[in-house]
Amino acid sequence: MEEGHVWCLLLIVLIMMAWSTSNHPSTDSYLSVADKARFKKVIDPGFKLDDLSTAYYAVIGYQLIEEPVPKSAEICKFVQDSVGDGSVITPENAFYAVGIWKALGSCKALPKTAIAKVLTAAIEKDTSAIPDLYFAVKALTSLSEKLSESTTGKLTKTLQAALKKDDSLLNLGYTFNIASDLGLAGLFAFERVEDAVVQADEVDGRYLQFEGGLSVTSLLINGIFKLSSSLKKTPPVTTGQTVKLANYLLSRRSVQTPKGVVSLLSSLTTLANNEFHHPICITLADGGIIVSAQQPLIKVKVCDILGRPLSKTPTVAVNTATRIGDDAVVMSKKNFQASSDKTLFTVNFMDIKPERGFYNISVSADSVSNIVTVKVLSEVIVDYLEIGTGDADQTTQPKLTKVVYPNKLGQKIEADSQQKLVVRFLLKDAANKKPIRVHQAFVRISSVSESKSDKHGHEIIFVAEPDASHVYKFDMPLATAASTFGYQSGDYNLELVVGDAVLSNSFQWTVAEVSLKFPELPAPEPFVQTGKSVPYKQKPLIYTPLPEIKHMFREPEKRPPVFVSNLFTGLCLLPVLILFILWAKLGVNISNFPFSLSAVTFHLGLGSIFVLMGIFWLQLNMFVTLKYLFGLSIVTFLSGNKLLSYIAHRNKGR
Amino acid sequence: MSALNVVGKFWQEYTKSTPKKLKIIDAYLLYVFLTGVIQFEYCCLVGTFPFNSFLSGFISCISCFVLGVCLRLQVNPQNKSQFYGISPERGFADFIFAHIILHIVVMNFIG
Repeated sequence: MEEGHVWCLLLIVLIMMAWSTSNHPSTDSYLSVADKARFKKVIDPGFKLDDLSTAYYAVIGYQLIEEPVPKSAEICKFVQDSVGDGSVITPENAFYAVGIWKALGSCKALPKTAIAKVLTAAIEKDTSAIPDLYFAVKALTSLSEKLSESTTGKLTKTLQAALKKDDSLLNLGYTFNIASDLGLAGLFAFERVEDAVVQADEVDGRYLQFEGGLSVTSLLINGIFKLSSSLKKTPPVTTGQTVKLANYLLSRRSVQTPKGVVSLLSSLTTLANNEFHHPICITLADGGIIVSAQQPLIKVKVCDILGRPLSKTPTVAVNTATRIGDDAVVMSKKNFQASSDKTLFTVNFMDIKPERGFYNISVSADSVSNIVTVKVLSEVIVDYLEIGTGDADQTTQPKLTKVVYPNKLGQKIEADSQQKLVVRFLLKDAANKKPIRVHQAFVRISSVSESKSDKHGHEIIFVAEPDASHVYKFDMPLATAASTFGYQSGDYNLELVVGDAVLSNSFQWTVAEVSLKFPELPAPEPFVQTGKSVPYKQKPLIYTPLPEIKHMFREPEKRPPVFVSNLFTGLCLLPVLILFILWAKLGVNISNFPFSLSAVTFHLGLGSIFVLMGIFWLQLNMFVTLKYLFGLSIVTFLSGNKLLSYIAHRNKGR
Repeated sequence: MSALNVVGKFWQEYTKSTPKKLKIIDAYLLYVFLTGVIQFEYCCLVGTFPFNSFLSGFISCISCFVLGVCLRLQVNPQNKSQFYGISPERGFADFIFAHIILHIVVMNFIG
């Protein structure tokens, strides 16, 4: 038994220790003064008093950012005119009018009883929509009118029935807000809070929002936290979820509508002022990302999400500081110093002499922590720079002259097309005198005449490449670079450009003036049509039209000699001779030839058809041929028919 | 009996028992056949260029031969039972008609 107790105690202690040391994330931003100024601009048009809703948003917005409302007398009059005697007013307008009246607090009394009567009637009606119920209840609360027991009961039933029909997030949001004004009778809605919270969508693991955007999210946040405080029950929302909700709201700071501004401000105020969870913001103070020898302090701002200092000044400390890239821990467990501004805390980061680069710093303020990124800048110095010319074929050592930063070389360097331009330089960190490499090391060569005449014409930028010992080299043989410069010989300025994100003194330095002599522009080759192989040749930078594409017939093959052709023509005709010889041998006679009209016509027709075909081969086209053929064949057919039937008759008769 | 004897016997039978009309057609067929053979030899020895001319000439020969064979079948008195109602004159008319159609195509293709 004893032992069991001891174990139990130990377990409880362990859990408590784990609880106390567990860190919650903070938000990355807060509502700054600039944000509030911008919100004012968005809601200011409401003071033109064109309609009740924008006027309401303007007044409530000013109240939320704790600014005095201008022209309050005029607004009071506008509200009074809009309400009239209060007997014909919609719940929505009543909500706006009463809201403004209450926020100003200095207006004449409204016709309370008349408005309350209209609103109570709306609440007791079974068919009222949930938004109307919301407006009515809120307006009544603002008028400090208590709802009667029976009205409350009826309202609860109407709400539950409506939620059964449609329990969208919007309706749930309105219901929570209504229930927060009903005291203990609002308990029915508290059971639904958990349903609503689980429907929130997480984005990127950082934001938590409800479907429907800013207005729905804001309505739900207000409803859940107000309901919880009215019932004095902890809402089923974890600290992490609260922070994510705050992150979402803060990410929507660029909202452009008056309604959105009021939604955002009211829900942020609710989150900042509720008695359950207070999201805390840990972020770098304005412009605090840069740390260098001149500005060695890391400044962080620790405040609530509205930018106010925390009620109890927290202990702010560096948990760890790691370099991005190799994750080396350079600092751990170091406290920040508080400053006169209660939200600003500083620590000297250069004490530990960090190398230049980016650092992730995990900052904790009591139980909340966040990671901020700072960059440590260093100064670069030019250890030496040599410039000169050498032979392009590298037979001799280049002749180099030293130039001291930031001076310009006195004499002009001349280089011709047989030579190359050479620049060598070494960059060092000013703090520890180590050779360094930078992101950008360029050699810029620009024409002197054009830079004087303010024309941005000829400039060519080359990249200088570092070798293994971090010495930067730039070699430019003039013969090969000539085309890049367009063969424009002349005087050029040579500049060195060194830049890096973690350098505090990136610079551009005119090193020397160089006179470059490029080879002559080679004469353009004459445009030769080279027959079969390549019909054209593309020249660099010369745009000529391509030759026209023409249809090519198949090239005729070599014909056989005339003798062979003629021989075979003869051979082809030879069988005709054989045919006639054979026929003669067989004793063909034409004695039987009937010399009738039909016989003559038939043979003539047949003959002319074959002649026509010969002509068709030689010159006619198909259509003309067919036209003639049609005529001929009719004649031939008729006569042939007659002839052949005659012959058939004769043969039968025999 | 040697092969020569067979040929000789066949030739005797042919000259004796084949009607004169059929012999005339046979002579025509031989003519067409020889023409085709000569064209084919030309194509083997010299080349097919121009190909469409060769094709039209050669195909013309083949088609004439086929048409001739058809005419011979219809005119042959031994085949009378199969071509009942088709007189030799009717066959000849068909032959002429087919030739005209054939040569329109050949002339068109010869180029």
